[in-house]
Formats: sequence, C-alpha cells, structure tokens
Amino acid sequence: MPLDHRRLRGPEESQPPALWAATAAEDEEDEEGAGAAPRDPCALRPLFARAGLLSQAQGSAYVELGSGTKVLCAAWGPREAAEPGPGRLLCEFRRAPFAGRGARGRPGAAAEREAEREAAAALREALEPAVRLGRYPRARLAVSALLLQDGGSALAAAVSAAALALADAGVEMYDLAVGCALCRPPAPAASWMLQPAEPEERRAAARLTLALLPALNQVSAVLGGGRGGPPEDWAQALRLGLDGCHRQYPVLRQSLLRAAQRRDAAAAA
Amino acid sequence: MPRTGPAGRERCGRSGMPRQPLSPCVAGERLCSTEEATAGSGTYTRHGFIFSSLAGCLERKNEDNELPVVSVVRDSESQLLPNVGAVVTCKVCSINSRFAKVHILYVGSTPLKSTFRGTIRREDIRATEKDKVEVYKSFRPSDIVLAKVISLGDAQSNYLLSTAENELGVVVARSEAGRDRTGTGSGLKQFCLIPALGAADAAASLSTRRCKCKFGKEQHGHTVSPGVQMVPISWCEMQCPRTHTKEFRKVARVQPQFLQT
Repeated sequence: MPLDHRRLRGPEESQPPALWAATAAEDEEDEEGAGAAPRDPCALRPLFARAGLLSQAQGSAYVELGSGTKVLCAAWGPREAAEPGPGRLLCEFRRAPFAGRGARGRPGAAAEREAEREAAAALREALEPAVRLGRYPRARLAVSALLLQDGGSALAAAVSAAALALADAGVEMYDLAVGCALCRPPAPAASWMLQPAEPEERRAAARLTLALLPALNQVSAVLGGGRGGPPEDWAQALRLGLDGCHRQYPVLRQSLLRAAQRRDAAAAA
Repeated sequence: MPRTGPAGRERCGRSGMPRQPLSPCVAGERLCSTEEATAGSGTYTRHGFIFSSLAGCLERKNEDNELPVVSVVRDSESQLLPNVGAVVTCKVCSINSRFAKVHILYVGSTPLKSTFRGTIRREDIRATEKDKVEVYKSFRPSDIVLAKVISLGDAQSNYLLSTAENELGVVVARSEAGRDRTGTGSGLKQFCLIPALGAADAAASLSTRRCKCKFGKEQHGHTVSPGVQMVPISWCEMQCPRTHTKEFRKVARVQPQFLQT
C-alpha cells in the first residue's frame, strides 16, 4: 500500500493518559493524609528570590517557594500617560496554562480571566502604598506577574516578586512589600498555618493573604475570607502572618543587593 | 531591619571627605535621623528619620556649614521625568498654525528611555510680539529644539513647553533645498522618532541620512530628510551652506563657549 505522506501516522495502539495520572494523584492524597498532622504551622517554606534576570524589562524578579510556587515578574519604568495627577500603577497577573495540576476546566473560560483580574486588582492594592507615585506625575508604571507553577500561596509570592521587580527597575518606593499567605483547615479546632501547599489550600475552610511593608511596619493589603472561627483567631492569624513577612524580608533584601552588585559588575566590565 | 547608631554611621562612610559612594542599600532602609543629615535625592523623611527610596548606593556629601546631604544613587540614570522648569531637548513632529507638536528626547543631558509628547503653543514661542508669530516661520518638522517645560498639562493635553527665551529655540535644522521628496502628498510630513541615544551618538546620528528606527529607512511611510544642516545667522534666520538660501526659524542663541571666531 503506498505510504501517505500528507498525514502524520500515530502509533497503532494508544492508551489514555488518565490511567497514569490517577495513580499519581492517589499517591499524593495518601501522603498528605499521613503527613498533615505533624506539619508545624509556623514553619516557612524555603524561599528563593532573584532580581534582575530579564533583559527585556527594566526590572524583573523571580520568586520560588519550597512548595513549588514559581512566579516571574517584570516591571517597566514611567511611561507617558494621558491622565493628569499622580502616576498610576498598572498590574497584570497571568497564570501560565501549565500552572495548575490536572486538566483545566475550560481553557480560556471567563472564570479564569475573572480570577486573573481579581488577582491583578489585589496586586495593585498591595503595591500602591509602597510606590512613590507622587514622584511620577502623568506617568504610568506597569507590572506584570506570570505564575509558572501554583504550589499554594501564589498571590503572596506574586506580591513579593512584583515589589522586587519594581525596586529593581529603579522606581522610587517607600518600602518593599512582602506577601504571606495563611490558611485554616476545615477541622473544627484547627489553627492557622503559614504558607499552605496547594492541596491544603484547596481543602481550607478559610484563606488569608497579607502584604506588609516591613521597615515602616505597615500593612498594605489584607485579602481573604472563609469560615475562620472566632474573631480572636483572625487577629492571631494576622499576627502570625506579620511574623512570617518579617522573617521573609531579609531574603528579599539580600536578593536586591546581589542584583545591584551584579549590575555594577556588568557595567564595569 | 533598621540600623541605627554607630553601625549606621560606619555604613555612611568617613566624614571629612566630600563624597564617599559606598554601601548599597534597599528601598525602605532607615539611613539616619534628620538631625544628622538632610535628605537628598532618592530618600524620604518620616517620623524624624531619613529612609532610602531607591535600591542603589548610599552617598554622603559633606557640606561645610550645613548638615551633610545623604542621597541614594543608582548608576543607570533612569526614570527621569520632565519637571516643570527643566530644559528639554525635543524634536518637532508636526506643526499647525496654532502649535507645534514635539517628542521630548532628552531632559537636561540624560536621554529618556520612552519618549514623551509635548506641545509648544504659538504664544509661547517668543517672548515679544507674541501675536505676530507664525509657527511655520519658527519651526519645521524634524527640527531639534531646546525648550523649557512650563506645565505638566491637564487632561488630554501633553507637556506644555516654551521657547520664550534667548537661549531656547531651534538648535539643529535641515534645509528644504537639499531634501528628498518621497511623495507622501501632504505638506506636513510625519517623521520617525530617533530612538533615545547616548549624548555622544546623538550628534552623529542626527546628521546621517539613515533613520535608526528598527523599521529601517522608508518602510512605514515616513520620510528621511538628508537635507543639509543649516547655520544660524541671526535670531530668526538660518542659512543653508550649500544653496545659500535663508530660512526662518526661531533660533536659540549659541552659547559663547561654542562660538568659533
């Protein structure tokens, strides 16, 4: 039979990939069920932050959390805007198509875009108090965050990455904004946990994301909700979150200093 | 974590030298209190302390009689915006009987990374005899003009510029006589932007035939003018050295140190 060169011929037999995907999910569920109890609620995941990696944008930052959340953020300096008055900050938050585990419900659905827009509004709320917009009249600053992998507390990582990117771009800021996420599992007397992983976040009864300006000790955004228990628990959750932010700040600060050193070395060379 | 006291003073460098660029710092770091120094560029004061607002290097300048000035500098001179009262270098984009539209390229001597648009109104071109001014006799498209920012503008208007001083006005202009006509049809041609360049390259590129935008010479309907650069002969005229025709411009006074006699 003559070969048909116009079509790509697939294998003779094929099997659905769901066979293999199901076993992986089962393993993970077993692990989480066994390992949920001994997790320390105040433990912070290892944090990796690097600023100044993109050449296309004026400032950029990459933040990775130990649970697998990876966020890449780019910032552009002041460009002309048509509106009078102080400058404006335009934030954009995008999830990569491969960011979540499992299949996407409906790619390109309105719900996804809505979630992205909400996250962008939350980013803007968290970053606006930190940037000196009064120094840039009639200008607009653009920040764009891309979530490469969602392993829990994505918005908090995005806030930190966006603040690093803005500082790397040379935008005048009052302070770096550090983000921290908390969640409370659905068990009746459970306590708040810092930086949940993705399965914990999915099953949580209440979630909270905090953005703090550490040197000024001011909170720039508190976002979240759910069934969290009595009000004292929420206050205690806030304190826990603030503590988490303070502990993350030295790492972010060090990454900015290293980026400045690299830039100086590159300029001298 | 804020650093105060002797540790902070060590980071700021030894006093007694006029300038000590040292020690990188990050936005939001507390540098010192307002009693020890005054805030310079890149810093802000709050609660009686000076904080840094840029991620860069700390600099401490010692003045003789007053308090030292603490400022934070970044090596890449970035993020400069035209302020009111700043002298800017711009390129005329299009002219009208009432105003001239320009693209602001440099603020002072630092190039801008993204161009801003500005407007020079007819009454701001000259200081005297404002109603007898004709824009066509003061500027032409693709002239390089020194202007001063008078206002940031309101909604739907760009930066307002003025050339109503002797030292402001047209600096570089090309003559009509030697210019190519690529037949775009309209009398007022739109010219492509020269991307912001370093100060050393600016003069070289302005005098070459090629437009250095990434689209190349003539691909998207813009004309490149290889006309000859004209020589100023008075405050309102310039002469082409090749054809000796005189053209009207509002010429900026040449600084005495640049005159060759």
